[in-house]
Amino acid sequence: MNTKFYSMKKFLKKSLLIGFFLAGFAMMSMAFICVPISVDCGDGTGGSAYACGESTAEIIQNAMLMADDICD
Amino acid sequence: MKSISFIFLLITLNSFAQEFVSVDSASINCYYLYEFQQDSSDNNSIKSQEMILQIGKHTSKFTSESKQYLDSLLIVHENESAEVAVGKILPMVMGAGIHAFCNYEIYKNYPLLGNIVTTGYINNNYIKTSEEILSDWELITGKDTIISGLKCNKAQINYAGRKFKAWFAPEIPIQEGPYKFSGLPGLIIDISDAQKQHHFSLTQFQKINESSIYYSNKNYIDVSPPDFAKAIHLRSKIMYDKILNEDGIVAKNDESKAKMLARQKARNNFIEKY
Repeated sequence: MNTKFYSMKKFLKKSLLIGFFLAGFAMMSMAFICVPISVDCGDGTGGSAYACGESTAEIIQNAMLMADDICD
Repeated sequence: MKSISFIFLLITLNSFAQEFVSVDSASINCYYLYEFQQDSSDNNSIKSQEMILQIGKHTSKFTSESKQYLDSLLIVHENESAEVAVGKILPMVMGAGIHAFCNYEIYKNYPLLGNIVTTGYINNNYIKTSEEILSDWELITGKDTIISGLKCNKAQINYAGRKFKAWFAPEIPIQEGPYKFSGLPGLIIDISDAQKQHHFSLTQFQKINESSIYYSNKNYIDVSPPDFAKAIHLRSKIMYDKILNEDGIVAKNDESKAKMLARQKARNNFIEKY
């Protein structure tokens, strides 16, 4: 009975550790990232900006919108 | 302790949940050229963007070709970290900007039959609006014309503060069209508002092998259609202030800054006018 309880406790400890690790990894992967972009319009105008977001989709979409903000 | 582990596991699984969900298979792609007057007071402020309408068995999706291209790359690199994926995708899309007035995806008959769902990532928020499929069309008889070799009939509808005139081809018996327009007895080939400030014209009709229609699975904030339009206009105001104050976006020189500011000020004429 005691052994069974001990192994259950061990299992729970292990799964908690894995849970912590995975949740931490997930939070790290959701970190807010900014990427510098530079746009040359080809007519002497242009600019640079930071495209930011918590995911690849957000960062790239912001970059594409900002590229259009800088040049027509 | 068990419940804490379970909660962590749920958080983790939720974080890794698949972003793109295939909701239907498209067998037809329609390409439209969208020409629009971005500044209501300037007839010469015409911009254009290439748009795509994917037509599936029960659902359709309308978005800009640039956005569609981006989504296809995001799906390929879905399992890579943001740092790695951004480095790979960014050089491939920088030539294809997305105009703020085309920053949306429109789904017809998804998730509910008879509904239009518009989604967008605007001002760092995922927003979504739902409305019923437009059905108040008035068919205009005796006004046929030929567009791109197709015999077209005329219809008109009032939507979001504008009156739209559509030309549809009964010989293509697909009740679909660009933007939120559909429900006519034939594919919409050409549609514009009465003031000719917003114009969609079909450039290519393509039958394809089955290709997935993807829905981006996010925790969207539900807003009304007028609030969606407001969010698009608000972005221009936010960007104007950011450019002015050099907050995260810096012009190369004074001429660039003046052009960038004028561009944001000119973006005042979204297709939906409430």
